[in-house]
Amino acid sequence: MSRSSDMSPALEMRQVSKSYGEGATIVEALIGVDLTVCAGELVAIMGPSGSGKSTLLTIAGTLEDFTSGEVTVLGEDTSQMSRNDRAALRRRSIGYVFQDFNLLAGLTAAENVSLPLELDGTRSKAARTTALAALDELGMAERADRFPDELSGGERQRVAIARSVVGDRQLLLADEPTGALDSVNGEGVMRLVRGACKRGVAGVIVTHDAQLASWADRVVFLRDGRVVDQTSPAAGPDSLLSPATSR
Amino acid sequence: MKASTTGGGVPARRAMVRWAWRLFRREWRQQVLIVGLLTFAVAACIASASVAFNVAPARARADFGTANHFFVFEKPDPATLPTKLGAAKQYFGQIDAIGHKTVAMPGTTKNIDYRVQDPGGPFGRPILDLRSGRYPSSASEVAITDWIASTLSIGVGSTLNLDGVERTVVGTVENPSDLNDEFALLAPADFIASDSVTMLVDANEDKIQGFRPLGDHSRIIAARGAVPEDVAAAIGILVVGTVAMFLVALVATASFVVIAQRRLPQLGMLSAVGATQKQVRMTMTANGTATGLVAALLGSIVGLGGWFAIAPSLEGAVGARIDPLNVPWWLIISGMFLAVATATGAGWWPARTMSRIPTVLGLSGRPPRPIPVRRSALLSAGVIAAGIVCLAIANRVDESNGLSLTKAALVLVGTLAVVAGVLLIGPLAIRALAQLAPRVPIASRLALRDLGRYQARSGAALAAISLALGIPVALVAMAAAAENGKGAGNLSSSQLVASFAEIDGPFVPEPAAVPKLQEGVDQIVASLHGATGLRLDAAKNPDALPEKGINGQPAIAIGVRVKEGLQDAGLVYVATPQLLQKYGLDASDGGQGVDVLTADTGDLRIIVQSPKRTDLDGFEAVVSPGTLNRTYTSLPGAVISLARLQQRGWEAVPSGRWLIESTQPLTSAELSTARAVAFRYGLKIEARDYQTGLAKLRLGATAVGMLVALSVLAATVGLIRSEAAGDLRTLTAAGAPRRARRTITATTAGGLALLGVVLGIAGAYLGLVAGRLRDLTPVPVFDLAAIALGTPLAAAGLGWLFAGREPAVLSRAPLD
Repeated sequence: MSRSSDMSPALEMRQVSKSYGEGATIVEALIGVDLTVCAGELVAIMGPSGSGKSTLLTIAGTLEDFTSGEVTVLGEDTSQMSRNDRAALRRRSIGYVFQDFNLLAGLTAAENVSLPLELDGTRSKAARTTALAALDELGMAERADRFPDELSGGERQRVAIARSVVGDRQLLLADEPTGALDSVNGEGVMRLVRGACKRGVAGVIVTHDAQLASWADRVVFLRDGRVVDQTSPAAGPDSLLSPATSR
Repeated sequence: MKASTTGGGVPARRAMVRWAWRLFRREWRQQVLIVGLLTFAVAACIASASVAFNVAPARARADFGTANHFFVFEKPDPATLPTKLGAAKQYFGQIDAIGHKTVAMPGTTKNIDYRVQDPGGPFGRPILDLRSGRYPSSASEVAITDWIASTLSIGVGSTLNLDGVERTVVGTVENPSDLNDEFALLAPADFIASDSVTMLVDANEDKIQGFRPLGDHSRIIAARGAVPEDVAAAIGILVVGTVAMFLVALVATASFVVIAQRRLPQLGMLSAVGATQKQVRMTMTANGTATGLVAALLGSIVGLGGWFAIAPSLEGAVGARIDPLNVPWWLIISGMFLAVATATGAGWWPARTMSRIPTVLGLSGRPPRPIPVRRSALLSAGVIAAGIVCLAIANRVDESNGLSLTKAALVLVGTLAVVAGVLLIGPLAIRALAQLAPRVPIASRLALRDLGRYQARSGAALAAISLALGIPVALVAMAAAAENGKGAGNLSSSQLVASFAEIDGPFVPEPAAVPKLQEGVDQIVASLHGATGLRLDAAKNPDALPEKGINGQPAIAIGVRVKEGLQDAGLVYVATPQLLQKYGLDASDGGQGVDVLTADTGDLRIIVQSPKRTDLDGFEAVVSPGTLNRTYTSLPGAVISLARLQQRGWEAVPSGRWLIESTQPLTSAELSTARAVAFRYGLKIEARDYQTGLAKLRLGATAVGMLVALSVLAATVGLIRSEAAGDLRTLTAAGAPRRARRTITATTAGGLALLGVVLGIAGAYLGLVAGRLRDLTPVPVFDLAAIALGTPLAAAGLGWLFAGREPAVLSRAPLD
């Protein structure tokens, strides 16, 4: 699964805006956001509630349309894509990790991981082999045939990460992936995300936690739908305590 | 290995179906209602279809065997009978001739049939079976039914002599299609001595009508329906089953909407990992199919099991042998297919809605925004208008050349469109009801708002309730109109008509037979409390020729000239003062310039002799028919005054009919006594034919409709309120008393029932009026009031009673 880090942009967002509602009730969720994430790079998005972090992530993951601007995922302009094309892009190239795990209760851990592959036409045996390999890398091979309600919170999130990186996925989007976990499991999850990026996957992670954001190569601060700051954790932990997050 | 962008082919479909099946197994409790309803519908459809399939043809099979027509030759001439049957065989190819001779059974009031039938005949196999011993082969042998054997205490090896000839019993036989058919089977040698011969043939109508053997005077032809009775009955059940399945489909749709909304975050996640709309849709549709398959399997097992259990006991009730393995397999498969299609269709609708929800909304578990009601209202108006147009066109289709398929199709499409259109008004009605929310107390407000917020499942539930009430309302309206059309009935509850049993139609008994009949009538009158008997005299042309094979003389009758011929409207009775008094008329009314006073209308003709096909218009028309106010249909329908009778040169003769009237309604014991006396004197009795069928249908439809609607309500209200369990917990936490919880459920149930009643009644009457069933009066006010008031009140009351349970304090969020 490892691949070289060629630093080509996996995600490019140019002047992206998103508004909800109309007339007097219009809400500007994103205003002219620019963001580029290269292969092998892990970017953390931070900001207060309602700043547009999740909206940015859903637009990057083609789950939601944007009002204006341009979004390119792996060189493809998503605004020109049909709903089915975007679904194909998600199941082949984009991995999504949610705060509340979002595993399908009726499927085992291995089946949850192989789901995107099977949806894309991979035969179930081959998909299972690939899924088992992904679970094995995360130390979950022994729990492959357990159903989600038989797994702990940390195990479920590991399964979710395995699903998000299985196959040839090149963009990993994680929305508060450690929000429902304790600190030990939270760090474990970040280690896995970081590991995926080291193998060449571009990662974008939304978090409130400055400690977890320090795992990223770059931290982008959002406020009221605008990018207000960008910094590198290498500049020191204090750099993450920007006005945007401290309020 | 990349597939197209529209889906992953078989592996993807397999993955979706696997997930759907797993969910079905994991969440089976939530689907028990759908599985239960479908299982019940399939089981009821299969069991009732098997019963109908076996019971419906028994009567016709007893008459026709496997043939489609029979001829009866009364008192055949032994000299010409073989020639006649030979000609028939040559003409039809195959015939099955059965000889009959009526013989009195000593010690009983029953006659039995001495029968001659070929056990290997081409059409008679279903009406003759050997139970023990063997068939008779010589004139000294006979086989008898069990009843004769037990009544006379004889068996195989005994002798039987009821007709002056002693025969040895060699076997026991039965008519498997009519176990009450008591007969003694004679050998073929006795055929020639038969009093009447039934000839079974299988031919088309033209060929039947073309059969005119020499000397063919007294024959009766009967024809079987074009469609086999078993197939017609089974198709009827299938149609009823389809309507029931549609009802179940609406409830199932409401259930699947609830299930789909519960699964919404999972469906959103599925979309997030790259599932196409089609794949998301497939999960719910496959769930529906799985539900349908399980229900079809369970239903067929229960239905067939029920049929096998009740089949043996049916023989006694039906009076025919029943083969439990004779089941309509094609209908069972159709019923199963219908169940699968119903569940799949019910799953498809919410699946379609859910698959269109934006992924982010799905992930957040927010329900879809209700479809604007104006869209469904416009659609409803369009569909209703299309239905009315179809029905209007159907009414203009000419049916003079028989049933028109075009008309049948237009009526079907029009009716379905009107029904669908009314059901589509549901969302608008729900929204209107929800508008009342601000004006009512908090608990009711919450209930009404929830109905409006969750429009998809409320709408499906309302459609099911409206349909469940609309069908019985239509039945009640039609039954009430039909009851009205039937007038007062045939006779009053204190009246009887006794008549000579051996004749019917425009004939009167031979004068010699009258004293015995009169004696019988006198005995009947004496047996009834304060009764009087009035002999009805008929007009007779002294020159009319007797007709062969009729044990009586031709009398004057009235016929109505119709396209197909002359329709017998009954004898012309002589207007005696006593008879006119029954009608409240003066004796002079029958003779002042009026030839015949009659209750009938149309092109009336006076029939003095049985009509021949070539001479239908040769009968004298009735001049200036006066109006006879006949209260009951079996009272004389045409009278002539004595003066006019004499002018025409006719004579008054006993008609062989007597009108007996008691001072009080006749009891069943009195009727039984009268029938027993009548039987002894060769009379038959006609009493009031209580029109209980229609009244029972009306009351039954009212009760069943309300019960079905309340059952549907119980199922759907439970579903709707289960989704608001969180609200209940919040209310409880906020200190809301038990009364508040009761009010919420009662308002939900009562509100839905009220809307269902309004739409059901409006839809039923709209459909009936559009179908140009003009005479819908009187409106069955009592029944409609019972439905309109009783259903919402009962629903609210039951909702109140069953909603007292306190909700669990802690909610368990479903695992995603």
